[in-house]
Amino acid sequence: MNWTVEQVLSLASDSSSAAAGRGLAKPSQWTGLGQDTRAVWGLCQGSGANPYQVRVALDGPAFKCSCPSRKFPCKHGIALLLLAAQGAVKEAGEVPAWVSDWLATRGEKAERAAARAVARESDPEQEAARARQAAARSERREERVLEGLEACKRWCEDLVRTGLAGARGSSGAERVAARLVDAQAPGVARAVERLGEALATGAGELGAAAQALGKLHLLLEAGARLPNLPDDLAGDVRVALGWPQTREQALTGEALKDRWVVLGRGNEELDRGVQERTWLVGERSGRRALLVDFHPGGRREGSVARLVGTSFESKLHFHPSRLALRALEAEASGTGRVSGVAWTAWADASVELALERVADELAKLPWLERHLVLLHDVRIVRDGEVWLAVDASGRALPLASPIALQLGLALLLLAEDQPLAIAAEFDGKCLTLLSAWRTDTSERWFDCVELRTDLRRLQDETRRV
Amino acid sequence: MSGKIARSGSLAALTLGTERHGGDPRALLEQVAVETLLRRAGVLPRSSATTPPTIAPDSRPLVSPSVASAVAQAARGACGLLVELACERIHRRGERLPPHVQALVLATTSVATARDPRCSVGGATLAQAWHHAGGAGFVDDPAGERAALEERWRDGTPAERCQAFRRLRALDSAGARELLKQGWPDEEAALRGELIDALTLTVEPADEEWLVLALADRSQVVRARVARALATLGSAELAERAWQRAASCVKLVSERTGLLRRLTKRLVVEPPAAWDPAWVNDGLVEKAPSGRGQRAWWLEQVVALAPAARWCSTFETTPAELLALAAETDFSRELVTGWATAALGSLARVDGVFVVGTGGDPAWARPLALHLGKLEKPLPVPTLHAVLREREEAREELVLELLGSGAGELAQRLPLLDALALPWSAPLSKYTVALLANAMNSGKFVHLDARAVERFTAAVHPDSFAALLESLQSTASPARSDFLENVRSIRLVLDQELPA
Repeated sequence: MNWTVEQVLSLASDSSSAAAGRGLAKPSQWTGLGQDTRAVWGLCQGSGANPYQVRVALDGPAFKCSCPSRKFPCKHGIALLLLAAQGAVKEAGEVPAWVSDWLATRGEKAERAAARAVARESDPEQEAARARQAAARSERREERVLEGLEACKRWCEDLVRTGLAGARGSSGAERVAARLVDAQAPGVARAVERLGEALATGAGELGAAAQALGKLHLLLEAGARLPNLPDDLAGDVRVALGWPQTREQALTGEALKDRWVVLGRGNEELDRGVQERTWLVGERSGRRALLVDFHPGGRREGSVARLVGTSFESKLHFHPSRLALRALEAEASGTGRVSGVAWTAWADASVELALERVADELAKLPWLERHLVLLHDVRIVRDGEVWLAVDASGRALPLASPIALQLGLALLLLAEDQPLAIAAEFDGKCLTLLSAWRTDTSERWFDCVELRTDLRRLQDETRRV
Repeated sequence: MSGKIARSGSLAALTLGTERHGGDPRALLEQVAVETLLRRAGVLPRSSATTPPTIAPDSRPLVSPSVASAVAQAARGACGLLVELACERIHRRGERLPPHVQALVLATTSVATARDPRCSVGGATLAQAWHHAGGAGFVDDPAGERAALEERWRDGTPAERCQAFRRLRALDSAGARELLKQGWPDEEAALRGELIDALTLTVEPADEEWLVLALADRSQVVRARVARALATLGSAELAERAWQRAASCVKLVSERTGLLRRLTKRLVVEPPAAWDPAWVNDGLVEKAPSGRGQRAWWLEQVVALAPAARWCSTFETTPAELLALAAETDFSRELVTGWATAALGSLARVDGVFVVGTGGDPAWARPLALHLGKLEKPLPVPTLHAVLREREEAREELVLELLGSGAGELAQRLPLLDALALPWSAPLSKYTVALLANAMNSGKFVHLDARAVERFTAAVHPDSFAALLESLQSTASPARSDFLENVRSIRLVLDQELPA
């Protein structure tokens, strides 16, 4: 059992159930505590007559509790896992029936699903039929997308004909974007929306609008040539246009076993939930990877938050791409603290080198919006209103503003008189810090995104008061 | 960034449109697309000549991870009291918080709290880093701070000017007095009054000469405050005048009364019969506020200006006895208020908190607190607090006595607890929690605001914590019970890992 308290708390659906879980995580509140290699269990006296039967399967983890709470996982599950993380649950010789029955049911379900998968794969006829269906679906989609792209292209040409200076508002970008969504090309729709935003901000931002238009046109041209592109490039273009990346594709792609260090987590609020990006680097291979999770409605349900500064041994499967970055984890795995921080092996020693890497990435994947920049031996300084990450030769990249005074303070306190290593997302102009590390001691780093979120929330609260 | 495009002409063409500028839209789009990609791939770094700040490493060990995460949780949950409590203990153990938690703490507590030596978790390293991060007010740079304060004194809003004056006065009292003198006649009356209050908090003998002149102020309110300042100072001339005036109104009579001819004391009070125009120069105000008797009003002011200690020495009695005797007279309110004003010394509301300045008579503090605290109503809590803070040693015992006195609503008396340092002792915690539980069990609705709840949960001794939660939870809304859970888990960590 190598869960940490922080990780367990991150499983809670909100801060109140995390707090409630903490409150219940005392052995005195429990009876019949026990665990084996597969599960932890215990009875917790609640407000009802009978104590709640709480069990957590360690593969996953999966929770099951007899309490009526609507929250998932409930506070009892969190508390039980907390107790186990703190080492307060002893190995049990005998597994109670209410635990073993549940585990057995879970096992059966998993077996049935596996059997179904095997049956599917072992039946060549079905397999072929499904492949035919998939191909037909893809072809239909391609047709619709190409139609959408054609309409979008006409809109772009009209825009260029009348001139950006004459554009009124966003020039109907929303309408075009909506049509692209209907045409199943959400990637292009996003590019159109961005162009619309730049147009709507007005004359001062024509440079930005020109850039957005340039990106959009590149995508449209590539999309139009889709049928003639080599396979790997066509795959990347499809993703950029908005084709979903499927699990099956990744599982057929390249796989790499390593100890993955969590460098940072970025969140982006989308229409129907929160997209979470987790940036990783392989401790042995130095390979960079990106896990993308979507939490509908912003709720994290049962999935494990990878905490910055922890690492986990796992095999990652990369989605096929000319720049294979996005990956997924085929099987769940344990977690632990970072053992060795090999920043000099993973990260670039100068801004120049980092930008060269950015250029390389763009050459492979011109639609890439965010680059992972890892730098070591940099100092964070404030130059008037702007904060900079400066390397040993005096070359610098600006940090995305505004930097809260307190975030700057934390960075300076972390560094003291030493250089830092940083992980950041680079959008072509600014670095958005993900995490900052001291490389002379292996014990000190912090999650910049989390601190920024906390500071913003505190600021909002103070303003409300 | 737009330089390249402009030079290449494509931005001009894009801006005008190909209809007017000429050219083929498709070709132009192509060109823009290529240029955009080239520019993205060829982005150049800035060069920076900024020298990295020198920040001396902090050699103190970091707190344990669980304490760090509990403090962070307290800061996120806006439990300011718990944050302060933790910071104080961490400081005392010679440890420090990790940088990001320190940053959160500074986002929730004021800089003033953070530089308070009792919870100065950061020390020199923090001060340097704060300065380099662009924060103000954390540096040991007296000259720089003075210059900034003087600027604010010259150009600030009235509130800022008052604040600047208080700080300047703390740095250099004589210099601050000179600043005050310079523009005095031109200040607004309201600000003159505020400034005199600020001066009174730290009044010193060197102020007397100027204050005597200022007593001739054209505003009645300012005159009264100047007189207050002089009285606090114990200005000999004013004190003598004021005492003569007061002594002529209040006399102590000892006589043998009743069958047993027992010696009893009695106060004979005769308020001033007529207004003396000369009193104006001592800051007395002729016209009574509405609802007050004219002569009673004069009496109160007359008593308030007289040195409190003179009553005890002249009548050979104690403050407690005087207060008891006053209760027997028709002018109890005037006498007690007057004595309280005279005995408490300077007292001012600074940023919403009552601050006790110089002056005052410690011998009166305790009897006055007991007397005022047990009145049915009104309960002048701020005054009481000021008194209580003054008397460190017996504070807890005094608060216990007042809380249990049964006078007035419990909720009205609870703010008394604010006067006590955190955390409370085991007996005090047990007592207050029992008091709260009794009040709730008796069916009385005890309204506790968020602040009171926070105060209780942060302050009580671990042994009383469970009982407290039980009585709070019986009336708690779901939001509040989440808050309680949160506070509880933080308290558990702090009590275990940073015992008081």
